[in-house]
Amino acid sequence: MKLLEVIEKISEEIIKNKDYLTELDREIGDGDHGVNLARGFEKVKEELSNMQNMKPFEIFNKMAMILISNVGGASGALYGTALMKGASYLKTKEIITPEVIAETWNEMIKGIEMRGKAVLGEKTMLDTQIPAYEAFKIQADAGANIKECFESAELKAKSGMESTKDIVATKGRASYLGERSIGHLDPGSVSSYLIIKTINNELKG
Amino acid sequence: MVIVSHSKKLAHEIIELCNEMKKYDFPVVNGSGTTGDHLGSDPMIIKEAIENAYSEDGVLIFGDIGSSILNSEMAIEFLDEEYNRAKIKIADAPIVEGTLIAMAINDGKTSLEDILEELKDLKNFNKV
Repeated sequence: MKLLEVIEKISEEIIKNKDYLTELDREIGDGDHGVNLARGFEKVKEELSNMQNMKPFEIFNKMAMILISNVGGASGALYGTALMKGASYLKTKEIITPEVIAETWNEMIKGIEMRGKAVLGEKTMLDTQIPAYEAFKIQADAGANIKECFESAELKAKSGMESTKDIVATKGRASYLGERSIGHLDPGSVSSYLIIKTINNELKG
Repeated sequence: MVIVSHSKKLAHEIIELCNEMKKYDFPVVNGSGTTGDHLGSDPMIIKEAIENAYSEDGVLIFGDIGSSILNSEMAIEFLDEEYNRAKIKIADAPIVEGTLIAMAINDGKTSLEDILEELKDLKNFNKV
């Protein structure tokens, strides 16, 4: 897997879904998730050519800084923190195995939990990411290859994302709506799903 | 003090309004907005605001909603070691009322801890 190619596809997917994510956010938030993330990933795309000779952890750190200073909303801080946490683990590893990816992802999730002061089941991107990571980890521990791991992860990411419809928001702007947030997908859970889906699609080839 | 709103204009007006209560000359810095002209907050802008407001007495940050707080936390983590992070606090208070009270009671003798203590009363503050 070529990391930069996957990042390019992720950027394109987020940009393509700008209006959809914004629409979801307009229903229960401040309507800027798509616009904000797309602006960040436009910048990531622009900077890809400068990342050619970087190590994976350097790419993660670079992406983190781009997202943090260009997104402008909570999602920039959350994805940025995740990438920085992932980078500090990746820095210690020379070879990328499914186990290393699992542990990197685990660190990223811890970063999101810390920054967002959120846990599973609060209608956030964690509801996509935690089940997906757990499915990935089970496969990795069983000796599966990266492709198989992400295939399982995507399935759980999708059901995780869908589960946010039934949850009352207690985090972020949607928490102001309380019960009224039921019936709506969490935009962050959708952007996280799009990212995982894109990685899986790229691996399938 | 540092004021972090999603809207730079809003923070500007809050500072203007609260200046009326100011007891002595200390820096109140607008750490709001983004590098573009869209609404939001940016840890790098907040970091710079903290640096400009910093003194040995500490810095108190007021944020409006959501990412203002997340990005303020991140800004504190990005500060160099010359800044004593323990002296930089994010107020758990409404941005307008909190800023107003902090400006009013900060007379140069009040400590950061005293102000934070006073701000706790805002939790049960009745307007009508």
